[in-house]
Amino acid sequence: MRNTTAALRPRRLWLTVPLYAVLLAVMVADVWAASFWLAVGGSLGLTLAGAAVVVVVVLAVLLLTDLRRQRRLHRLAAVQPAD
Amino acid sequence: MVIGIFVVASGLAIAAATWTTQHIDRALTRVPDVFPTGERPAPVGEGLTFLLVGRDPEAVTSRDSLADSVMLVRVTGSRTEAQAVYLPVYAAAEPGGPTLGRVFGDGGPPRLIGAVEQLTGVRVDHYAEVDFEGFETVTDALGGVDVDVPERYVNDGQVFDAGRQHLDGAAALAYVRDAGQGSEDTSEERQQLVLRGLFERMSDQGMFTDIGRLTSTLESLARAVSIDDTLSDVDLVQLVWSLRSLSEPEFLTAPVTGDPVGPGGTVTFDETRAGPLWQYLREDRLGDHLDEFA
Repeated sequence: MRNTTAALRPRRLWLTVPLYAVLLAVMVADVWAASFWLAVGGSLGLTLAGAAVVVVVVLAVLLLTDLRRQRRLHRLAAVQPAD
Repeated sequence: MVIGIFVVASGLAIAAATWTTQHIDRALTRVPDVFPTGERPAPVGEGLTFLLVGRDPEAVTSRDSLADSVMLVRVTGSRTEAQAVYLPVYAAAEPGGPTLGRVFGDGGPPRLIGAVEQLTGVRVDHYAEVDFEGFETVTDALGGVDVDVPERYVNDGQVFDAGRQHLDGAAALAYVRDAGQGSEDTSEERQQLVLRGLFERMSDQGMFTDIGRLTSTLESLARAVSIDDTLSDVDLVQLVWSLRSLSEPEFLTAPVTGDPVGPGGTVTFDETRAGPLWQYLREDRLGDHLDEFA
């Protein structure tokens, strides 16, 4: 019961902000990497550019999903009375 | 959670590989305006020709320093074979004219490329300079080089006995450098042996599984080499990747006549024997005719 309550609690900001910063930094770095390898082209360039694009897309999906979940949990915590 | 960690790790690895590639590229020096102006031989086929110059280690910062070695490297269109033709620096491009070493000393890369293109009729696509002191660092980064020394050679206080020898950077540099009068006639042979050894070392599969060693080797190689500024970072990665299946280059020396030893003793290229060599190079057929120049 305590675990379920903990899982439904929004993540602390001091953990969320650095986590999002790291994910965004990796995404920016991979957009830069994708543009470089796309210019290189050929089998090597296209493979690495493709991999970088996949990383960016998956991270974007993970980030947006987590963002929506955290917003929902924040709203839930706001309407629920404190323990 | 596991997927997230895996994706972040993959993203970091791709970014690190890209950063390392660009870092190595930034270590390379680009030499501007190396190609002569005016009429030049037309490009032929898909092959690529490089003019490789080994620079005098005693005067690496001076544009007027003499070249220690000049090599024309032809990579076939399939990028699987290459031939490296030594052009002796003590040979004159035309009878009575200056030696290639002097041409380089007087006019730098544009004059040398112009002279080589005029001599051979082969268009030089790219130019690269190797600093011999940087070559020492590259050899050390590779963990030394194994050389089959054909006969005893002594230079810089180092003795190289005949037989298979493992040389570190300093020893390899002493071996390729001329010990003085009379040693020039074995200069090409010694350089070929060390280059062969280095190529074997770089082709060694173990090197490509050791990322740290591979990176340090490429970095020291980049610091030792200067290339023409027509090769951008993207062009360079494309070029290096296209050469991944390249087999060991075949080395040969352009035939010359005359006596290189003694004051003022210059030689010229032997047109009778060198003529067909230039023709095979122009037609990208040298690989089929190597035995004619053995």
